[in-house]
Amino acid sequence: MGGQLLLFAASLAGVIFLVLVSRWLGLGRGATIASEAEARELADNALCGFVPTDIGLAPGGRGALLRDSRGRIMLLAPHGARFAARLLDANACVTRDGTRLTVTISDRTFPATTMDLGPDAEAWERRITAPEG
Amino acid sequence: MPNFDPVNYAVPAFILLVLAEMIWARWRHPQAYEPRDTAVSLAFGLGSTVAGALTASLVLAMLVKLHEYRLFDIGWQWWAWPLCFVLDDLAYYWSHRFGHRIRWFWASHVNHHSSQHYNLSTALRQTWTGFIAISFVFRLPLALIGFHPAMILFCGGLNLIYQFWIHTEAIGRMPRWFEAVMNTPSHHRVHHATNPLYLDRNYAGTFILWDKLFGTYQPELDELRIRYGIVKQLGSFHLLWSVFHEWIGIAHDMWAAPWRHKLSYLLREPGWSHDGSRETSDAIRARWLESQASPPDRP
Repeated sequence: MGGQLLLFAASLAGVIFLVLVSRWLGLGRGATIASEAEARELADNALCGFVPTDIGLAPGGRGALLRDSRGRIMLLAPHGARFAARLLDANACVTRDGTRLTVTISDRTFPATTMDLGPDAEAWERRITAPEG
Repeated sequence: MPNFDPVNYAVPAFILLVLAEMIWARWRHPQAYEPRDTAVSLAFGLGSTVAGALTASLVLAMLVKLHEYRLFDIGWQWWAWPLCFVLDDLAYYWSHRFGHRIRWFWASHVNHHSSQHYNLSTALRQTWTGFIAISFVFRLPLALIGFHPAMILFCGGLNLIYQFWIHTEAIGRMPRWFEAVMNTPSHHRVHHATNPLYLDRNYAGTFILWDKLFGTYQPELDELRIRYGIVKQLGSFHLLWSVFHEWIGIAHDMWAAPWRHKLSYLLREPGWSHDGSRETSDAIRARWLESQASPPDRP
């Protein structure tokens, strides 16, 4: 029992050490989508066959909204050094502050995502609140 | 009862190798690690040692009981060790395959796959709920054959240690003869990928031969950029949600489903739904293969 506790304590120290080292080395800083082509690829990987007709890419590639010909809207939200995707359902809600949109989805474990979509922000707000198709 | 777990002795090497890979990543591939993801993966590993310690005596008792009814008196012959290792790896292959194809088992194994990164810390991302997912049952026949329980657990530990080093992007391909027989970083990257072509492939632990034998082998293609994780990425670094999300999902689905479909949400493949509103890996791969045959027009 004492040996196991010692092993646990040493392993815990090892975990803390490695997490601190990864921070100190500056690993995994910020996910970015380099282009609309990459946004398409990420969307297709998240939902095979999702072909966007409209893409709203946040400045610096810090997120994206994509809509396909069926009117489905996908959110690509930064998650650490990667992106996580969700299709917006009827319970998704959006708020706009000038050109900045904040999208909240029904999955409460998925964080609200804010992105600046410039002059397209209003159009995306309309698409989310009154989806077509 | 001799009971020597080699994994405990490998922990310092695990820590040093993760450190070495982080230094490699700093210069060659900074996005290979993400501190919060690493923290979650390593917390999984730490918690799994506690969960394992709590249930190890039960698994050992089952092995000992079955060993009393053994078919052969194998004992501690020298040849029993490599034979036990190979048969344990075969048992691992089937345990792993079922772990991906039955949602009850997947609810536990998904923990190992839910990182969107693929590095040595991912190797330590081990489940806390393996006992509930009865993954140990695949090892029980070895005791019935006649392998000593301590030998079975030792070989299982060695298998786990072998699988540590294959969780990396730092190694491209191993020599051809090695790739042909052994599980390697290249083969296992495919296993962790969410690309439709790669879903539910390369279940091997140590020997990739099992996948070739049972029709689940898929080589890594240089032209296909790998995306890691699970089909529906977690989007959260919350540890407890990461541990239990699939169990919660099963409970929610079974509660909401009509009576005749309830058990299917536990026993059928991940992604199955009674109303066809979700997709299994087979359905995703089939649709992808279809799209490759006739690619859609880009707007």
